[in-house]
Amino acid sequence: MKSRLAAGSAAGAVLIAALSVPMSATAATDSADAQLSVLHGIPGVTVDVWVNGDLTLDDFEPSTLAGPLALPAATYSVAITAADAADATDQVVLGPIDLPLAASGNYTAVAHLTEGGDPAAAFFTNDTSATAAGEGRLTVRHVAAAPAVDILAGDTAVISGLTNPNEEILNLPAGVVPAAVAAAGTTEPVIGPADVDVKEGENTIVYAYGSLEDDTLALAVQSITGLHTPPAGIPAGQTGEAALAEAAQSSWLGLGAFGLLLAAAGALFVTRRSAAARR
Amino acid sequence: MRLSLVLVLVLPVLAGCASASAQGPSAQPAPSPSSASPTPTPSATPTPIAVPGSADAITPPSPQAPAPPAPPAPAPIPAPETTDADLAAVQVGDTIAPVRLAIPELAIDMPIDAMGLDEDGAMALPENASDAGWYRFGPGLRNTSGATVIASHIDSRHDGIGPFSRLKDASEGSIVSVGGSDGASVDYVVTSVRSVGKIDAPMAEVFDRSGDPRLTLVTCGGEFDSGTGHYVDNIILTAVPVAAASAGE
Repeated sequence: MKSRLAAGSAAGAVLIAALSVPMSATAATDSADAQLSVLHGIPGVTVDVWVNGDLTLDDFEPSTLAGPLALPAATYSVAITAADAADATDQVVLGPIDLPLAASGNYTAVAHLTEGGDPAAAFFTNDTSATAAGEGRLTVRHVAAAPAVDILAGDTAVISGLTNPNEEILNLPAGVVPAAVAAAGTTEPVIGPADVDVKEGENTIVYAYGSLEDDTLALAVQSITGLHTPPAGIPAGQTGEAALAEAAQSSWLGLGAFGLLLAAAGALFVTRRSAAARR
Repeated sequence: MRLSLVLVLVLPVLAGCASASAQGPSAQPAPSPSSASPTPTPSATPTPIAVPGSADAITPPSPQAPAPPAPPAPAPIPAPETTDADLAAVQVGDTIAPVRLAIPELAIDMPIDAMGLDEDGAMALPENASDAGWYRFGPGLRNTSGATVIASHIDSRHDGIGPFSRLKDASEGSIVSVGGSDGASVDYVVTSVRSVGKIDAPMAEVFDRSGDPRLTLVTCGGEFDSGTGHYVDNIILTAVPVAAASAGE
């Protein structure tokens, strides 16, 4: 395992990718664009990422997330090389691989280790469907050089038998989950426990990466926001008392105005009469 | 116990002045995930490395893979923003809860409780009309985007008519001061006060988490329908941070 990793880093490094489009500022508002993020989940190796032959991520460090980039739907070719590679075909660690991005899709490409410890690339489609009001989504992805695992929330396994390179998705009431990763069927954590904040209206994606054998297991997190559903309403009145008070005030105002009118008419009448009497 | 049963029974009726949109929340298009900044503060150093885009750097097609259909524009690819994905770096609890609301023009000065949802999926409010509720799942104070939503009963079975009964009388330009859980307060200036029929109650807009930071105060208003037990309108006051308001002039 160690030697494999060393070979990997000597050869260059790892993987992944991202790409681009000239107008990144406005691209994000184009709903037809795909969103691509890239996570570096291979410990100890710094790499360069090439997209369609261009250097897109220079000296990309482990446990770093790049993106999201808004990209027109297309298939992109991604290669991962050593950090000092001269071009996309020099000192290749991974790839080139093709990433087919569909319009409006949301993706994360992950450079990681297989269960056996070899560098590999995983391509995930992120769930961006709306979450229910009050809930958040927790996505757990196993991209570590480790056998099947269980995900524990407190003492309870909420996900069982998750294997590399797969994911499980849970929709939960928003809140902090004390999460731990343990070998499948056990409760002794190999990662954590760590508090994971499953935020309302977000897809919180947790990656278990690294190597069990090398003692480099760790968690990386990606958040996708804006998935919230608003409350169904704001029930902010119960008795009608305020409306009654308002109506009553209006009637008194109305009566008052009428009274003033009467007084004015009366005064006019009196004035005229006295004027007539004087005549 | 009996009281709570009664409360549960009447809740659907009380879903009140802003419940109309409950029929179609799923029809609200979810804001595009791209509309909000998807990751917390970039704590790692960005890598704005210029991409060498010279034509002679083009590499020969990879021997093992057929060349993928190249995107039409072979423009240089800008380096994407990178962030530290470490759990501790990403999950910072940075929301500042509003705890006190003051609108001098309306003689309003009331405490604010953090609230979530009621049994019907509507925004929960404090029982007393003398207290306001902040929707804790949305933005707090000194947020970088979206609406901070605070609502209160116009009238309540518990303590009668509340301060928010005067919300409709607020003038554009009035100051709304909101104290935060961090001990500091933020001043907002009122930009609009409107009455919206429940049919049109724009919940997705009221609870929008994108766009410029703003404060949205909500209560019920208009006529009270004694048949259904709820008001027919929403009163929605919008205010923007004073700094932003003066900068915009």
